[in-house]
Amino acid sequence: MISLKKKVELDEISAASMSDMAFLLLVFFMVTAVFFVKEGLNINLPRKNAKPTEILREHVFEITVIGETVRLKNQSMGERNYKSLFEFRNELNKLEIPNLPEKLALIITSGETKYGNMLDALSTVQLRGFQKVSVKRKK
Amino acid sequence: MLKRKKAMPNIPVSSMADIAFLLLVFFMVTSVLDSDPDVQVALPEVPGGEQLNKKIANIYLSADENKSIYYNTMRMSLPEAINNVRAKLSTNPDLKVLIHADKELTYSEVDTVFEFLKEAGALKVSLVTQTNPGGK
Repeated sequence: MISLKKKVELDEISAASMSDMAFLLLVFFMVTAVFFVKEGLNINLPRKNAKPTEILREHVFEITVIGETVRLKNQSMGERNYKSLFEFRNELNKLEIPNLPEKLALIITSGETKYGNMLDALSTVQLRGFQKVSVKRKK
Repeated sequence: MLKRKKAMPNIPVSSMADIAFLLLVFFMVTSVLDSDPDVQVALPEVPGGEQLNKKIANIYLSADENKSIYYNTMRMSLPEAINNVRAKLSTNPDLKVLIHADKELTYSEVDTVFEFLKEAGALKVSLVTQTNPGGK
């Protein structure tokens, strides 16, 4: 007797659409991915009870930010006034300042000085190459 | 005369799915989903900003009429936000605090936050600026 064995069909999951799904997800992540999230100016705050640092007066560059205007004062260079932060940035970049690492940029703000303007002045002195920067708030 | 069957050129695409999955995993690992709170903060546009790393805590200072303060995505008072920073600082001493302050705020308002941070011992601070889309 010849017995005809019926071929057992195996259950299987079709993986043909797997690559389509992978590409779909890939496109989603490529579109939504953000590689660099934020930019900012790094500062180190002084400790709460840190001793004040002594620095020679001739090394101090006082930068007073009043509204949009800026006043730059230094013992050897005298006093200069700038009508805008933009002008201050341009002029500071042209100034020849010997021994820059020893110099201190002291940014002085009044109670009404906008945070955005203070940050602009801070960025300007950092980009100019001042390594010692301090911010003082006039009370 | 027997005609020889011409073999059609073809590109094997069997490894395409593997490449796709590999790229998929890469993007899943490296992408960062935007987790900023729903608050309007006009960040200052200044040059010279550096890219900031991920060991961070975010404080948002809004210039709205309530002068709202957010710690990461949650709105809270300044002392509460500082307490959260202090707690995070105990587990991660290298923590950097990112200040997202509105450019229309006065510096004295932002300085108050600095005073609180100094007391908490969080001395590494970054002042977040508007990201330059074209890079540096």
